[in-house]
Amino acid sequence: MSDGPRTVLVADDDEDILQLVSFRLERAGYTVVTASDGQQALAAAREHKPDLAVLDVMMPGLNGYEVTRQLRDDEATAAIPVILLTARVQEADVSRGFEAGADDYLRKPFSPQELRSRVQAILARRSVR
Amino acid sequence: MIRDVIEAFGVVVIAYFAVLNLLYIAFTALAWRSITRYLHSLEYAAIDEALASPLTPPISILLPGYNEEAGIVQSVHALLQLRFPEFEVIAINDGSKDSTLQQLHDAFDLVEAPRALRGTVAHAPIRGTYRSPRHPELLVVDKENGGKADALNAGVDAARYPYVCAVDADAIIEPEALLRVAKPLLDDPDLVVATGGIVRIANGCTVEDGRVTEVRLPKNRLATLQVVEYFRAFLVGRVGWSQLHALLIISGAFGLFRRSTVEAVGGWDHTTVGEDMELVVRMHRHMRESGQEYRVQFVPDPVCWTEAPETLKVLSRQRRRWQRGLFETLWRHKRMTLNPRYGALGMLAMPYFIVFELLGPPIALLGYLVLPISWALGLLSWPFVLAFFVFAVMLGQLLSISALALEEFSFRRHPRGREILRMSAYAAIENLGYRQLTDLWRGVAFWDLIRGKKSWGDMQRRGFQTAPSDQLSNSS
Amino acid sequence: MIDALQLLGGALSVLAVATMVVLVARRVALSRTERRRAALEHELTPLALELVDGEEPELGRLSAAQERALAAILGRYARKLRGEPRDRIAAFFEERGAVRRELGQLRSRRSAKRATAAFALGDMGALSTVDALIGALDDRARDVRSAAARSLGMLEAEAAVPRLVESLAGSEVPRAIAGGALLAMGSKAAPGLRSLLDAPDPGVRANAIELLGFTGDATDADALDKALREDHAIAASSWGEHAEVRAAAARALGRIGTRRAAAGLRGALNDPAPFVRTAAAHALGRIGDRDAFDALVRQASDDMYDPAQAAAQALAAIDPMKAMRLGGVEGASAHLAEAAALAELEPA
Repeated sequence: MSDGPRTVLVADDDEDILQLVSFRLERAGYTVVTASDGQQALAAAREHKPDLAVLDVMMPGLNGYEVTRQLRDDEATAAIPVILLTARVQEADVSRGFEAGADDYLRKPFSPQELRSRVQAILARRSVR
Repeated sequence: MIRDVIEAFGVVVIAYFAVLNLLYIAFTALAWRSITRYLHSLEYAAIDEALASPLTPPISILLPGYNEEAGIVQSVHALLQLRFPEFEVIAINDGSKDSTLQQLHDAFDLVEAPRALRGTVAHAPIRGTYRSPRHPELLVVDKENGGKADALNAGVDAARYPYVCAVDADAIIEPEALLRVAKPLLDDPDLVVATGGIVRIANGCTVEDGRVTEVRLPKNRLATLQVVEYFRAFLVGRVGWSQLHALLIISGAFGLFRRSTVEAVGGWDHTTVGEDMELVVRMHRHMRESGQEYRVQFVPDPVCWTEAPETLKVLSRQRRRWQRGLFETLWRHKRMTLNPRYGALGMLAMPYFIVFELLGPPIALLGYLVLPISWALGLLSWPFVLAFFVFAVMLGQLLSISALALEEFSFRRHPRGREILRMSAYAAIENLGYRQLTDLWRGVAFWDLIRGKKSWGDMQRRGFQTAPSDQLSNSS
Repeated sequence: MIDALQLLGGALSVLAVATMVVLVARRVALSRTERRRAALEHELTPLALELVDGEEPELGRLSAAQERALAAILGRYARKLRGEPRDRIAAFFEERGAVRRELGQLRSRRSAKRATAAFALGDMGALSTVDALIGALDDRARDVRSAAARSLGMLEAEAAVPRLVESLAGSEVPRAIAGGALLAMGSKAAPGLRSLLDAPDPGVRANAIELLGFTGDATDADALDKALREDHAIAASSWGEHAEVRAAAARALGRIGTRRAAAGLRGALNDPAPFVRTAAAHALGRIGDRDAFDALVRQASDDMYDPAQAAAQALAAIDPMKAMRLGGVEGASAHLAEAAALAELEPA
C-alpha cells in the first residue's frame, strides 16, 4: 500500500456519527470518505479502495453485516479491514459480525478516541504483514 | 298517510345526522387529546432507543403471498431490514400459480429444512419448509392454496415467537414501525393482545429498495381523496375507538397479535372477506367472555404504506368488499350488540357500526330517493333542503380539515408545504361528491347482500388479488 | 330555522377556512424556523466538534439563539458518545449554567416543563443532578418519571438502580424505558441489582435477576443458582407466581454463560412450569453442557412445544454432529428433525 494518507470509509445513517468520526479521524491524519447507507458504502468502497471501513450495523438498505459480507465476496475489496459500529449488546450479534468477516467491533455510544486507536491498531497490524 | 311517513322519515334523517355528527365531533376531540399525549410520551422517552433493547419480546412476522412473484423478494428483503432486536420472517407461499416460490429460492438460496409445527390452528396442508443459510431469521413455508386467512394460520402454526405480526405482501413497513407498534406490549405485556398502526397511501411517494424515501401527494385525484379520507379514518376514528377500548379493526396490512390469543380463538377465519376485522372482534369477544382484562390498541405513528386504487372501478370493488366484510363480521357477532357484558364494545362500537357504517349508506340512498317523491307531493321546502345540505357539507368539511390539522400538528409526514392547500381542497371535495359516491357503492353492496343471501354461508375461496388490504370506513 | 342553518353553515365554513389559514401560516413559520435552525447548526457544528474533541474553542459571546442551537447539537452528540468527550459536554453545560436552569425547571408546576427538564438533564450528563432525577421518579406525571428514568440510565447512576427496578416492577415507568435505562448502565448496574436478589416482592426479584443476566458476571452464578433452587422450597401453592423468578434466573445463567450452575439448570428441566423448562434448556444450550444431553433429548422428544423446541435447539448447540444424527433418524421428534436441519445449515 502507498505511504500517502490512509483512507478510511465511514458509513452510518446518523449524520452526527459521521461528523464525530470524520472529525476525529481527519485530525489524526486520515482521509475520510463517508456514506449514509449500505449501498453507498459498497459503491464508495469499490471506488475509493479505502484502507479500512467503519460500518454501522443498522443501516437502511443493506445492513453492516451484509456490506461486510459483500466486501469480502468481491476480490477487489476483500482485503479491506472492517470495524462494525453496533448499538446492540447481545453476544449473538457480535459473533454474527465476526462471521460476516469483520475485524473488530465497537459498541455505541462510543468514544471517537477509542475508535481512532482501533483504526490505528488494525492498520499497523496490516502494514507489518 | 304517505305524507306522515315521509315527514317521519325527515325527522329520522335529521336526528340521525345530528347524532352521527355529534359523535364525529366527540371523536375528533378525543383523538386530539390522545395523540397529544402520545406525542409527549414519545418526546420525553427517546422510545426508539429504549425499545431496541433485548428486553423487547421477539416477534414472528407473517408474510402471506399468492402470485406475488413480482414483489415477494423485495418485500422479504425489506422486512429482514426492519429495526427490531429479535424477530423472524415467515414468508408463506399460498399455493401460488406463478414463480413466487422459485423467486424466493433464487434470491435466498433456500434449503429444505423441516420445521416443527404447533398444531394449534387448522390450515391447508404444508408442502415444505425452507430456510436460507445467509438469513437464519427467514423461514419460507410452501403450502397448498387456502386464501390469505389460511396462509396466516399456517404462519401461526410455524411461528416460534410469542407475538405474530401479519403483513401484506404489497405493503411497505417503515423500518421503525415494528418497534413502535410493539410499544404497548412492552408497557403492558400482560394486557395487550393486539395492536395496529396507521395505513398511509404510497401513491405519489418515491419508493426505493422497498422503502418510502420521499412523501408526496399522489398525482391521481382519486388517490389524493383517499389520503385525506385515511387521515379521518385513522387519526380520528381508530385513535378514538382505541381510547374507548373498543377498537374493532386492525388493518390486515399491518397488525400485531399475541400468538396464544390468536390460537385460543382458532386463528383467522377463511370464510369471510373481512378476516382482519373478524379476528379482532373474535379476540375481543373471547377475552370478554373469559373475563380476562386485556387491551386492543391503536398506535398512531408506526406507518404501513399501501397502494390505493386509482380508478373508480377498482375503488368501487374495494369498498363493496369492505362493506361485505363489515356485514359478515357484524352478523356473525350480532349477539354482542347492546350486551353490557361486552362493555363499550357491545354498547357503543357494535351499535355504531351497525347503525352508521352498515345502515348509513342505504339510509342515505333512501334519502336521495325520498327527495324527489316528497318534491312531487309538494312536501318539500327547497330553501330548507338547500340550507340543510349546505350545512351538512360545511360540517363535513370542517371535520375533514380538523383531521388534516391533527396530522399537521402531530406527524406532519407530508413535507411539502404547498401540499397542505391541495389537501385542504381535497378535504372539501371529499364531502361533496366523493362521500356520496362511496355511500352509493356501499349501499349497492348492501343490496347485493340482501339479494344473494344464500351465498353467505359458502363463500368461495379467493386469491389475494381480491383480499382486503384494509378495512376502512368514514370515521373508523 | 332556515336562517339558523344558514348562519351555522356560514360560521362553519368560516371556521374551516380559518383552520386552513392557520395550517398554512404555521407551515410557513415552521419552515422559516427550521431554515434558521439549520443555518445556525451548520455554523456551530465545527465549534461543537472541536469542543467535544477537547480543543477548548473560543466560545466568547453567543447569542441566545446560538446558545440554544449549540446546546441542541451537544445534546444529540451526548447520546452517542461515551468517555472523555461525554464529560466535556457535561462540563460545558455546567459552566454555561444550563444544568442549574434545568434543575429549576424540574420544580416547575407544568408537567411538560418538568418532563423536558428531566429529559435534557440526561443529555447534559452532569452527575450532580442524579439526586434530583431520582426524586423525579416519584413525580405525579408518567412522562416526567419516564424522562427521569431514561436520563438516569444515560448518567449511569448506580445509586438509582434499586429505585428504577422498583418503578419497573410496579409499572410506574414503562418497562422498555426503565429496563433500557438499566441496560444502558451496563456493569455499573450490577451491584444495585445484586442487592435486590433478596427483595420480598417476587416481581422485583424477577426483574432484577433478568437484568443481572445482561449486566452481571460469573461471580453472580452462585446467587442466581440459589434463586433458581430456593423457589423450589416455597409452598407448592405459590410455585406459579415464583416461576417467573426461576425462569429469569435460568435465562440469566445462560446469558452469563458460566458452567458453575449447570447442575441447577439440569434440575430446572424438571420444573412444573413449562416456561422455566424452556428457559433452562436454552441456558444449557448456551453454556454447552454435555451432561444435560440425555435429559434434553427426552425433553425434545416428549415435552410441550416450547420446551421441546428449546431442548432441541440446545442439543444442536451442544453437539451439532450428534444432534444431526439424532434428528436424521426415521421417527425422530419434529423438534429434533428441525434442530438437525438447522445444525446442518450452520457454517461449522
